[in-house]
This record gives sequence, structure tokens and C-alpha cells, in this order.
Amino acid sequence: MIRGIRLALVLVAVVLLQTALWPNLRIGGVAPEIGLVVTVAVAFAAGPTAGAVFGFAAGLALDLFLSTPLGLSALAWSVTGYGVGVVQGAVLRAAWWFPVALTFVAGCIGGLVFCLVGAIVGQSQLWGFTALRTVVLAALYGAVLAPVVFPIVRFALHAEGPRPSGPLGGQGW
Amino acid sequence: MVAYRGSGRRRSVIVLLIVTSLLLITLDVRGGGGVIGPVRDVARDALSPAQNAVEDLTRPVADWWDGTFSAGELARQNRRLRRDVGRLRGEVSAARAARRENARLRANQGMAFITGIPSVPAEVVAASPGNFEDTIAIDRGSNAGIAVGMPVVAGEGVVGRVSGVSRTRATIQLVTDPAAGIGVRFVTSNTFAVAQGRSGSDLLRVDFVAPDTPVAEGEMLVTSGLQNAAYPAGLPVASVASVDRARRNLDQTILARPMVDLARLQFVRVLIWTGTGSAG
Repeated sequence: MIRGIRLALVLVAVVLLQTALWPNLRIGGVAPEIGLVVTVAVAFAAGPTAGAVFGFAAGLALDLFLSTPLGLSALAWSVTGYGVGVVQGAVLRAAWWFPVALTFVAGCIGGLVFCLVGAIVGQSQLWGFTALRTVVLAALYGAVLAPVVFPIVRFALHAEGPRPSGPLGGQGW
Repeated sequence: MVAYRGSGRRRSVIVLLIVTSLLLITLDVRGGGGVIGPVRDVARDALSPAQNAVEDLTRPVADWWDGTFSAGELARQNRRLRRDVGRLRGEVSAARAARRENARLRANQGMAFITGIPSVPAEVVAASPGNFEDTIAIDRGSNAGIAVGMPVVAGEGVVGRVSGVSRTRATIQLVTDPAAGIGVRFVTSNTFAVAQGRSGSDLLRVDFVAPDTPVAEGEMLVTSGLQNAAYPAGLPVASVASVDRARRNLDQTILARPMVDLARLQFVRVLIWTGTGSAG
């Protein structure tokens, strides 16, 4: 219950930061998908189901502020959250850089799912080299933020979850 | 057995989420704006005060960031503007004469409505939260008479169109958005074309220009104002930045720079215009 409330607060913070702060902190015209980074952190710490549900909720909340179809970010982020949770469950012990690399790869996969499904439903601007460049840059930007985001998410989940042993937290550390 | 059940539950959850997402996407794409639109409006209105607070709190950070990462671009822009000032000074005297002639021609062609369109001033409060769209949010909405489709201008020319509106905020699709297209006319040759946004670029691509049409760098493009156009006629849109006349192409590859510096917009005006004239 407490964990749910904390995650809900994290969700609100994610939407506020993604819509009010990060658009002004672009590098190369690209802002990080902070919601996706948090989704990866949740999946890393709490497993595939929590990752998928949080990714869906965060993506859906952000979709309300985008002009792309409602549900597109929700789909991409829930699939990514689920995938990260499954991968994390198979990792017994990870190096310190593993969450950073995982965030980068997950950011690329989430972005590609977003673009691919978006292009299929008629969002032609999501198809092409420029979209690919944007996805990679956003993933890179997100990976840089991972060392800050993971401990915050770990704190939000701490009330009911097992105490992680690694510097960035997570099961299997 | 327990592990199998857990695994099955996990799969059920992700399948449910995927199906729900696909249903929402389908509903939105297939014209479900009647359902989705009000939900978006309510969410934007509900979060608007908190967004304003976060923007106010983090403005120093955003200003510092902008100054740090835009220094090179500002220097280039400064050089370009100095060059433009010199050129424009020479053109001012010619423009005065042209303005008098233009006013006379507009009156003759019944286009005097351009100057009589009511407008709503607004301040830009947020940039696009997404990486795949060029939009801004302004601090006025339907309470101020703004509706979807209305043109938005700044001092130098066209900014874009209203693409979404809630009670207290509106979203503007900029002319540089990849999904935006705007009917334009070359001022010199009087040729009509379509200017479109390009992904990841602040330039517009001008399409449907015959290869034998003379186009010079610096030439101005204005809104075409053809029947059913989304903008009133004669609003400055962009100036030609480059022209490529490759022989294998059936038309010219023309890139144009918007008249308005869309990266540093602060104030805009929404024209209360719905395509058939003044709505206000």
C-alpha cells in the first residue's frame, strides 16, 4: 500500500518533470524520456509485472500531453518494463555499470517500439534516420540519468521490498 | 507449480496492458477524439497549476542550461542578424514604397481582412514534452476564445496552428512540426507551393515548385490564402535558405527558414480566424 502511494507520487513527479522541466533541458534537440528511465528502474527493482504496470501508467499519463496517439507510449513503455524485469530476473550478479547499460538498451528498444507502432498507425514522422537518431540520443541521455533515478526509485520501493545490496539497488545484486 | 502460476499471471498482465494500449491507439487514430479529446483536456487543465509552479521553480535551471548549450548557436545567430540588419536597412526605403503599393493592391483584391482579424495575446509556457513533435503550450485556452485550427503568429510571421485546447491552455503545432504543412506563395514569382516541417530540423521543405520557376535565396514566402486554406493570405512564413536544382529532379529542392525564431518564442498572438474569415 505504502509502496503503491510512493510509486504514485513518483508517477506524478515524472509527468511534471517530463512536461515542465526536461523540455527545457534538451541536448541536440532531444530530451530524455525520464518516464522510461523510471520504468526501467522500477522493473529492475521490482520485476516484470511492476515494471509493465508502471510503464503503462507513466506512458499513458504522458500520452495525454503529446500529439501522438493515446496509448503509444503506454504500449512501448509497458513492453520495455516487462522485458527489463524478465532480463533482470535472470541476472544473478551485475556490475555497477549494468543498470546504466540496461537503461540505454531499454531506452533504444522502448523508443523503437514507439516509432515502429507509431509509423504503422500513420505517424510518418516516426520513421527514418532522424527518428532513429532521436531514439538513440534520448536513450543515451536517459542512461546518464540512471545513477540518479535508480536510488530514488529504490527508495520509493523500499518500504516493502528486499534491501538491495548493490550501489544502484535491484534484485540479484 | 507456483513459479508457473506466477509466470502465467505475469504474461496475463502484459497481454492485458498491450491489448488495452492497442485499443486506445485504435480509438484515438480512428477518430475517437470525441472521447479522448475531453480526457486530454481535463488532464491538461488539472495539471496546469502544478506545471506552472514547476516551470517557475526550475526557470533558473532552464535559463542556465539554455545559455550553456546555446552559446555557439547564439554567436552564429548574432553574426547572421548583424549581416541581415545591414541588408535590411538598404531594403527599408524600397519596402516603404512597396507597402503603399501593397495596401492599394490588397484593397483592390478584397484582401483587406488580414489587418482586421481579432487576436488573443498569449505567453509560451512550455515546450513539447515529446521528442517527435514540434509543439509549444501557451497560457490561454478556450476560456479566451481559442479553438483548434486557429492560426498563431508572432511579430515576424507565422508560428503555427492550434492543435489542442483546454480551458486554460492551448497546444500549438509549429510550422516546423514534421506533420505540419502550410500553403505558401513566393512573393516574387507569385508561385504557389507547400512548405512542410522536417524531422529534426528547424528548416522547412518547400514542395511542388516547378524546376523552371526562378527562386532566389532570401526570397520570402507568405501564406497562400487559397480557398479552404488554414491561414489568412499574406502572412510571412519563411525565407528561402537554399535552392538545389539537381537535373534529375522533376522539381527543385528548396529549404526555407521560418521568419520567427521558434526556439526562443515568448509571446504569440492567436488569430481568431477559422478559415472563412473572422470568427470573433
